[in-house]
Amino acid sequence: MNDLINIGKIIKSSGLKGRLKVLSYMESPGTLESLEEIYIGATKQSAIPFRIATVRIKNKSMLLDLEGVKDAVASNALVGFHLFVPSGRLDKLQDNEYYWRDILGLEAVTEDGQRLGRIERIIPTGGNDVYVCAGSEREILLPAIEDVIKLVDIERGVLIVRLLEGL
Amino acid sequence: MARSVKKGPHVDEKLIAKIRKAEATGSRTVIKTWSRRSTVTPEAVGYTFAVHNGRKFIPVYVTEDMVGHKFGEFSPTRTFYSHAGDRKTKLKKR
Repeated sequence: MNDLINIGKIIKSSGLKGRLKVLSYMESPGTLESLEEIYIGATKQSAIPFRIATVRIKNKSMLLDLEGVKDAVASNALVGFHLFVPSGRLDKLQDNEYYWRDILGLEAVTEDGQRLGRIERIIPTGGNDVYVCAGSEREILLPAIEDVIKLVDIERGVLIVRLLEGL
Repeated sequence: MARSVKKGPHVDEKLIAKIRKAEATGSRTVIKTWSRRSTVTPEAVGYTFAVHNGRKFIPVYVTEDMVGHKFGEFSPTRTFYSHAGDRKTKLKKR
């Protein structure tokens, strides 16, 4: 169950027939329409599967009907819980594309072995994304371009970078 | 209201000078600028700029599709927080 991804939170029940309103964390919520099952729980370890009856996506939120959740009492009991999907059900990645959750926490190391710190945040800009590397001395902003990010090794938890002059 | 076409795009003199200097020396160092109002011109393509957002310099690699926009558009001034969810990041190619 460790490969479950948090994709939203149930914020309230809607109506009397067990419908749930969910705040979505998804960039492409269309993925949910193809899912048959979703995991719900306070944490991913305690999440249990529910079968999806219908999903309606509306901007950053969605309305979710689950099989077995038929009234407001049952839906109210789920308010505050998180929604999870297995990572394998998410979109396939293209070349040089990574999930944020894989990049966050990686250790940035220069090509000559100098440790810069961990990637704490990602700033999406209109152009390239920027990885915020919190080092012991100062914060370093790394543009997500091939000239700077030389290797992303998710298994070893390392990001090999070449710092540009003036960064 | 859009800027008059007659005047052409606005680029700060100091920034033009920095781009010309980088062109002349063939250097690929990051060009630091505070000029968020300057328009991205075709001469800036291929260079990395550090655009000030009021607090720090955000590194911006300029590509062709950014020409005509202002530098400030690529250097957000508000801190962005979000759940990772299924968000993706892509390394830009040169």
